[in-house]
Amino acid sequence: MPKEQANWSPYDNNGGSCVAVAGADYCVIAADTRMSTGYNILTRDYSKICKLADKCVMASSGFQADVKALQKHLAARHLIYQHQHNKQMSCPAMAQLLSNTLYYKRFFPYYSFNVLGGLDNEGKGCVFTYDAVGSYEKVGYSCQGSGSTLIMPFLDNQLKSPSPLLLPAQDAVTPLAEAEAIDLIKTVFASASERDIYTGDKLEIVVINADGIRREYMDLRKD
Amino acid sequence: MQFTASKQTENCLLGPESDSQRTLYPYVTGTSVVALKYKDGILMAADMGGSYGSTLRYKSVERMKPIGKHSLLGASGEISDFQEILKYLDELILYDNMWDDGNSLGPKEVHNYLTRVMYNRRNKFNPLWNSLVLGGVKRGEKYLGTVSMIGVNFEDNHVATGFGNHLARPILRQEWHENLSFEDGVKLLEKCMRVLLYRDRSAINKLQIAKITEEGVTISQPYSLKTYWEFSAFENPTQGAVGSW
Repeated sequence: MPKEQANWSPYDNNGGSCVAVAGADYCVIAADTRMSTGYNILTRDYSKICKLADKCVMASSGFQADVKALQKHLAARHLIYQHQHNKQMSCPAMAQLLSNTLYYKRFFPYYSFNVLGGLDNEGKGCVFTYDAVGSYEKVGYSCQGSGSTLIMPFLDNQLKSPSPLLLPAQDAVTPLAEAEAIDLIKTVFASASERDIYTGDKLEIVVINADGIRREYMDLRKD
Repeated sequence: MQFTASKQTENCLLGPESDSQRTLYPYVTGTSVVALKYKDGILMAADMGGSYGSTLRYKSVERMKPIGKHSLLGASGEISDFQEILKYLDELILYDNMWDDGNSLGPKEVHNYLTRVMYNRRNKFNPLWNSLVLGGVKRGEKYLGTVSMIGVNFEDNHVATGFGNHLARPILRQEWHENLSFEDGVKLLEKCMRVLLYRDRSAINKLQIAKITEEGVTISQPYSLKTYWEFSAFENPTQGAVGSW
């Protein structure tokens, strides 16, 4: 008797783009607020950004149910860490925790494409970029999601990342000022919204620096 | 013809394990649910049909039910799974009441619970085949959310399931605004339900509209919408098509 095929998929792509840029003393994390399925828009006002620790913020796009479960998992683990160590998790520590959490489900992955942004223990900006099964890398800037193929080349052009093969290792964080980085991100999302149908509606920008965390919004194309 | 009773129904996602208990497809289904926030709370509408494939098998299915003191749940998809969800929620509300601490689960909490249940079932490859709409008011705060059979969830000012997403949401995006009056809210919902009645073949002309406010839940008696079939194109559908097929 031939095997019965499942006629439903446990995955869906709810779209959207995420970007993070690290600076000398700040980090900017941004994502659009559109949630889609197929050719439909489910809602125009859904946040893909989650604060995991005081100086550590994650933006994720992909399958929303997996993203939500992942965010909850990490938030719970952070709470336990705080109870056990009486301090906040550092961004590099959270970065590894995220990688391990993703790999744990290597054979039924979280369909979640993440960028982690924050300040490291010295107050310098750091960005970590991931794939769906946890392979990660510390970079100066990154983007994930449906608009990433449109956004990444532009970021490469503007932020000119030094080769990771250079010796001595050169810093990948951008010399740009905070305001310039935010402007760059707004430009990048405005462009991505033109051509990527899953990116648009509104842009949410989170900025982490020595003063703390603040949030900004910008309208994007709604078509 | 083969009359062998096969105990092993293999699911390609599982391999050789025999587990014929998993949901493969829905049997008795309900169609769209549409809901919106208005001035005093939430308005929700659903028809009373339960289809068995293309047969309209049941015509008095209540697809909206009050949950606890502050919430209203509407469901589309497999009716038996909806009844199972009501059983889970019964137990949830019961335990909440047994604390007897003056606190009660609000719509946000119930929605979160439902999301976790749906996501967990999806993880076990045995989904509850429903799209749920959860609306309510607690301490003046209105809440309206939805969760799908694979756990995708969000809240918004207006939501719809199934065909409602295609036909009702665009109308709601155009005409919804903050602080709709009750009459305007009902008119808007009826406009959406009428379009669904014309264009969704599993919709029937027998619907209920439910309202939830701080005071509580009211689900209307079933009633029908007025429809208009006198369009000239309907009267002579082949006019102007002489010679074509």
